[in-house]
Amino acid sequence: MKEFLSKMQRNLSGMSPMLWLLLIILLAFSARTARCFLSDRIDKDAVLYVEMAREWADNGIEHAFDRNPRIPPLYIGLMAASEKIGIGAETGGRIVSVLTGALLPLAVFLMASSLFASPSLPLLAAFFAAIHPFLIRMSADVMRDSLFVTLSCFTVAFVLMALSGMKFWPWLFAGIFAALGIMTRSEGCQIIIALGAWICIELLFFVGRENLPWKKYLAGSFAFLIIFFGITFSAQALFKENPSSWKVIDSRYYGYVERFLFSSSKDIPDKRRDH
Amino acid sequence: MKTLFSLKLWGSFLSKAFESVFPPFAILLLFAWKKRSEFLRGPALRFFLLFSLTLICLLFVLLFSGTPFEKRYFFTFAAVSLLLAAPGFYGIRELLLPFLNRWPFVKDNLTALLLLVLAGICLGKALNPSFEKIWMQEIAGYIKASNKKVYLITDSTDGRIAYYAGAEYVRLSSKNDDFSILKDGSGTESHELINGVLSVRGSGEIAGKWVALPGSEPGMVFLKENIRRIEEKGNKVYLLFFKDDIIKKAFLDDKVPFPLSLVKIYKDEKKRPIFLYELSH
Repeated sequence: MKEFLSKMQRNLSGMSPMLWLLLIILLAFSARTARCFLSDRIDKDAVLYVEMAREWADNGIEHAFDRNPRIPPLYIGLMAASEKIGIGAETGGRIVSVLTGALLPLAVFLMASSLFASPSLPLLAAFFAAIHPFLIRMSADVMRDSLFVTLSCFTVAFVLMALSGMKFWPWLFAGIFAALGIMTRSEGCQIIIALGAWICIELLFFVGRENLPWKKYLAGSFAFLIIFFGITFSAQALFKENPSSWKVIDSRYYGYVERFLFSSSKDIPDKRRDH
Repeated sequence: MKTLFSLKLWGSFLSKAFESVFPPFAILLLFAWKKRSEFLRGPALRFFLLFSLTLICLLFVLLFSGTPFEKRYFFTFAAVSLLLAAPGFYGIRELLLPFLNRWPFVKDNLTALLLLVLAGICLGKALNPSFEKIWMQEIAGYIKASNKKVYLITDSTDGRIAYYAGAEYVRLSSKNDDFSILKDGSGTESHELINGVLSVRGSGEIAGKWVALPGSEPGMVFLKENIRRIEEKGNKVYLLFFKDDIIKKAFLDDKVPFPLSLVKIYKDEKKRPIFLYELSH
């Protein structure tokens, strides 16, 4: 037994990190697929998404967003495409959630690779992302969260790669993923806020102190913003012709900040309001 | 800013954050500080920390502005926090090692054993079948058993039971509903706020609008006749009430005899009764 264990230990420690990563992604995919078979309950909002996707697939985009004009279009669009090709909007939504959820460990691995010197820590972080119970449950639901979380993590991963590897190309990928993220959930604007805050802090506190390629960073950030706004404003212009009121800059956030600054605790609702 | 003094909101914010990170990973986060030397210092780390801070601040503003808030909003933060939990894992490992001299097997294989325990806890939680709202499936299963096309008339805004059952979701509106209903879906004229209007979601030109069920008359007084008309076309009608007392009072107020017979009473997870009716024959 002892001999068998030590032999197994030798074999496992000889495996390359890429093979480990592949096994972790497979584990993530298996756990998420298994979860789909254990729960066929869907969220209340999922019924709305399915109906919107069916409307889009059956009657065209013209009135698909009448039920909730503010919803960003990416997830509903993918569900509508699934409905159109015969998979069904609900199944399509689940497939998108499972696949993007299974890729989350890869995004976490890429993020961690830029933050840690040790090669084992990125694998460990990816393993945690593969087994985290709520991230598994989220990936089995017909909701936008799985797609959004993975897109957000890939965005951050590419920005970190650009900053740590001092390369230019990851900025372009970060811009694409950030644009897809905000087309999934309005909270995707967090990356723009974080990037703006990072540039300000770096310029104020670190420019003179650290010998880093600031011009390259600024050019990269600029390229990121061009790609991001290029994709999102094009999408916004495309959706302008129908009742979708989705906007890259979600005006609700002004309301949130205003309410945060001026509301009293009596204004807090006890329950989620029904539609 | 007065909401900042609400203990209830602080409790809600912290409990949702802790719960979504998941307690075993939250424990690992506590030990991350011990292994902070593992992080590569530089602009990448500063950006990562700023991004995490932005996430927290946005969630904070969202919750403290009184916006309806769900645990799932924390999931991006949960994913990002796993990067901080990874060094914490080695922090715990180092803490345990000195106590394991008497068990050399455990000491030699501590990393693998800790990972197995963690995976066991996490996958156990993730793959534990959820029986939450199982009553929805039970009701849907009962309705689905009918071999006719089913219309589910309900006072609920939740269309899931009808969706599970493959039934037509028809809403029975009351005076308190704050939406207007288009008459037959043809124009913009809306019904006055009266009890007992049967409405469905429109599609195409009127997608998203509540539309009076074609061929139905508004009012409790016409409910029996409306159901009969649907059933005459070879359909089956079930009525599901979550606020049974309010519905019965509406009949009483309109001086209309209650025309339904009880099929079954279900209970939700809080043991509140849900009444399934059909038309008395």
